[in-house]
Amino acid sequence: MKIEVVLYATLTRYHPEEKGNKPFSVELPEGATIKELIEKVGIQEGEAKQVFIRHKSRRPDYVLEDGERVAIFPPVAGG
Amino acid sequence: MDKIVRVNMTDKKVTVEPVPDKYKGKGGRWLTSLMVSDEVPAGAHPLGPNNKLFFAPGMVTGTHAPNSGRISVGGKSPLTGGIKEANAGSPFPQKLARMGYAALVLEGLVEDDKRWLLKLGLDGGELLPADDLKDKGTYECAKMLWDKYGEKTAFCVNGPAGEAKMAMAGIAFNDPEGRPARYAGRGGLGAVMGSKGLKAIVLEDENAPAVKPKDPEMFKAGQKKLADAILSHDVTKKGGALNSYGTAVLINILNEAGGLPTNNFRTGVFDGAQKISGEALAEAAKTRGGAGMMGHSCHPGCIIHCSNVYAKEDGSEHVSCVEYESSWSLGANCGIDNLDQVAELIRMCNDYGVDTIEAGVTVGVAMEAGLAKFGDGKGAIELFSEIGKRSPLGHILGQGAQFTGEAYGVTRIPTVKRQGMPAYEPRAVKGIGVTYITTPMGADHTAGYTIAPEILSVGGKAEPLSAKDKIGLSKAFQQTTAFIDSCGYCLFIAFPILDIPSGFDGVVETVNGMLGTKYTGDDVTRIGDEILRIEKDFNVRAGVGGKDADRPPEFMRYEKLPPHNHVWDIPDEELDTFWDK
Repeated sequence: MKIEVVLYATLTRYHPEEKGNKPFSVELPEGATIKELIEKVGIQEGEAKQVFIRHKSRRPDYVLEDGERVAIFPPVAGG
Repeated sequence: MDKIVRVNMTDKKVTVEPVPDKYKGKGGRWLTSLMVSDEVPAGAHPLGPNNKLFFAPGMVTGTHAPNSGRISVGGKSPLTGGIKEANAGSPFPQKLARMGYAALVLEGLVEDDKRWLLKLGLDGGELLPADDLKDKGTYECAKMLWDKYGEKTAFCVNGPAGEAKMAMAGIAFNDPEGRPARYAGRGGLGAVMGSKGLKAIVLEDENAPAVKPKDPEMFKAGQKKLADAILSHDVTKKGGALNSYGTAVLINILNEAGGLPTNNFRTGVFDGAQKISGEALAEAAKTRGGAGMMGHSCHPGCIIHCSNVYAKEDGSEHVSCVEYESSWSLGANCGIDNLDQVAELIRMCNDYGVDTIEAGVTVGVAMEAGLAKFGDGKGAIELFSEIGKRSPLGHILGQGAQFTGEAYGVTRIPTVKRQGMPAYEPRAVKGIGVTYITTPMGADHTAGYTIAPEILSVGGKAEPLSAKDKIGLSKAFQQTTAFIDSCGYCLFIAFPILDIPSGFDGVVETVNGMLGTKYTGDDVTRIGDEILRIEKDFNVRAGVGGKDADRPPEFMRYEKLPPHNHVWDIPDEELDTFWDK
């Protein structure tokens, strides 16, 4: 299945074509989880703090569905 | 800090007195709120002779404690009609503290239309005629002040909006490079300063002694614990999110969470979010070069460096600082996705001397009224320039979102206690809504930043869309925040100290080391609660503290907010339990 990935802030350095926030596709087997997606993108353990799908924060064991758009953030804060 | 300086604008007398016992060992918000409560009659007109303006550095400001250069400004707010504390980071409070002043009190009222400048030294000050600064923008004033008094002085200055007594006027403090860009922005305290005819304060702190903690060993130990926590936490460390992208790093995450108020709080998602984000700012700093930079700081001793300088295409300086709140209010909230236009609007706010949050919420409401189109940056700039022209429309806009909405018959006015809501949608993030509604300040995110657990997973985790258990969450944040605001610490130390217990211990130890007190962690909550109740009590006496004042804007109860399609659903009865002991 195909997953659309958007990386933010310091995670943009993992973009396969160095294109910052631009979405890119990742091919994964059916039933793959967010944790597996993060590993596939090559993000080091502990660096991905928050993952949003359809505007909700999702846990690492969330099972992905074909065509989903996944937004991944490192630890961020502000005010 | 054993002196209070009183500046009486009626008879132009400046007097220095010892700090009375009641106020000893207090600082920042604790001191300003206490003094407002004690000295300002609750029924006073905010712009009349009986309102006063209080400036107080925090309890550890002026020391080497990290990120402790904050000043609290307090008074009765022309915007909300209630008590107000607005704070800013600047070298100004650090110098004020080293000069030995626990508070500066501005009182009385000028009888004519003249402007005055307070020149404050170690042993007192004098009021000097300042008609040469009259009606001038803050940037020009800032340059004139440093040219005349030297670049070692610190200053604060009131813009033309404050002189015109507009309720969105803030007070600008200098940053380390002399920009009038660090604002005690919220609640219209610039209008109070304007009503008293004071245009600027200059601090001449030559030979000011160092601030000496009563227990230097304890102070030093606390200082180290706090610094270690700040420098090791993922969001505040060097190369972390705040340092690399500034506060606007939040634009994308709030957008992904569906909580970024867009087009005057019509939806929680903005298509142009990435273009006005922290990432876009960092990219512009890199590609445009020149004056643009990330990692700027608002005062010496800051080890987070979340500020920035934004450059024009040719590399020349456009404005400092593009904050999350400003980029949201004048960007997403108005449907504007052009960072150069947003930067220009921020520059105009700084020059006129107004709060960027109230400004953006007001423009959003004005767009709702049809005065400009959502997304039309040029139209927004043109509309906003009416404030600078002081046209009749400018005077309406200058009174803020609530007043503007009422003038044009708008029903979607996102305010609480007449103050514009900041950059988090209460229908999508319920805890922050409780803070907006219950804080004595009027809608204010900094009063109890539940976004940390609700969106950022800092200090635990809470479900943003859930209405459950949000009263207690907001209350705990509000209590701790009132204490941090009294220390003079930047609120961003909250992120590391929420996650790292030794950092929290460090805060308490620096205060104890400084004052010789024996406060514990429990005292932080107790003192914070005491401050909130002083403020609430003032509001009750002023007529803005009743249950009716602690309510959300009605449209949020019946209008579902996309993408989650939630309404505001925390029952009023539950809101009313906030003040139960």
